[in-house]
Amino acid sequence: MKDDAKLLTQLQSNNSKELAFKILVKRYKERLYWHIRKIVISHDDTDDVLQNTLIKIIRNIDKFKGDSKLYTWMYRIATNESITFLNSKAKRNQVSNETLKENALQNLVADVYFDGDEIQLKLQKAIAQLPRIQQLVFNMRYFDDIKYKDMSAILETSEGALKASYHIAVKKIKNYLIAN
Amino acid sequence: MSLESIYKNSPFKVPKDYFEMFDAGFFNELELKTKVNKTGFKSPDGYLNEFNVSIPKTSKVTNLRKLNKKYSFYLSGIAAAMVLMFMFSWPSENTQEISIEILENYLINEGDQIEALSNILTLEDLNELSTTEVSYYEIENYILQNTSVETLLID
Repeated sequence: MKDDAKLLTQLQSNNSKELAFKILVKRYKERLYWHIRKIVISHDDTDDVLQNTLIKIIRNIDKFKGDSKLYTWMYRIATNESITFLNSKAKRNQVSNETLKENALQNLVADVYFDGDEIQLKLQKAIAQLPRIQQLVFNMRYFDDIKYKDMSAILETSEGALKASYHIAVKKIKNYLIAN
Repeated sequence: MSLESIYKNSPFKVPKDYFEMFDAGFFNELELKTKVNKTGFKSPDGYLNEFNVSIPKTSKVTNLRKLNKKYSFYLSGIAAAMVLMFMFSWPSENTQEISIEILENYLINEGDQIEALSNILTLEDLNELSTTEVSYYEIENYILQNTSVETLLID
């Protein structure tokens, strides 16, 4: 995006960095929030990860060479931060990642920040059954319509592999919903 | 020229079984989306409007005080003697054994650093590390040659 190129120049200049960062937060906080939320599930955890992601973005912006789009770079940081957060949380609670996932889904039923109906809850359960890469691909494609090309930059995986992952994920989810 | 012959002679190609695969993928997705197409997640009222990032301030770098040259020779000697004393007189069982509890606590509390390390090191690096054997003599030698006594004194 042309606007992002201008914003990047401002972010990498000491004179305009602070103001540019405010613009970046305003422009991307919502998209990053929902991307992280779909991975870590709870709002409070999302809030923590979003803060960490934005701090990491501003601290590393000078190292960003513009090899990829600014937004795919930020999504990559958000994805890595979310995964690191989940792994650390599992270690801290001394449970496996699978148990952590199950607990998060159980908490979802009583979560005030989840107003999904039965089918939406089932969909989240179905997504949770998928391997992590398929979960990421499914969420990004199904809900956010992110292009495979951009997804490839975010997840550092070939477009072909991502397409295959998505189709497998859709099939598995459909089968899960039929069986449950 | 018929439409069929135009397609047959087209220089454009599609991946093998593309159209067969396309149908399955497309209709699966369509069917799913008619059932459910929203996550059901919501954020607290006004959360995103009031969202602010609080960037923690980086810790201030403190200036190091220079040692008085007159005493530095003696202090270096004392520090070196202390380092050697700790190295050789420390009970060997304490340095050899770490309780499982201490190790577990370390892994739990330092999880973030380990995570960060795992981003830097590849599996090959780790395999190489695990097969590298370092003798006590080499460690001792390294410490003696690379440890700055002045730094230890300041700390």
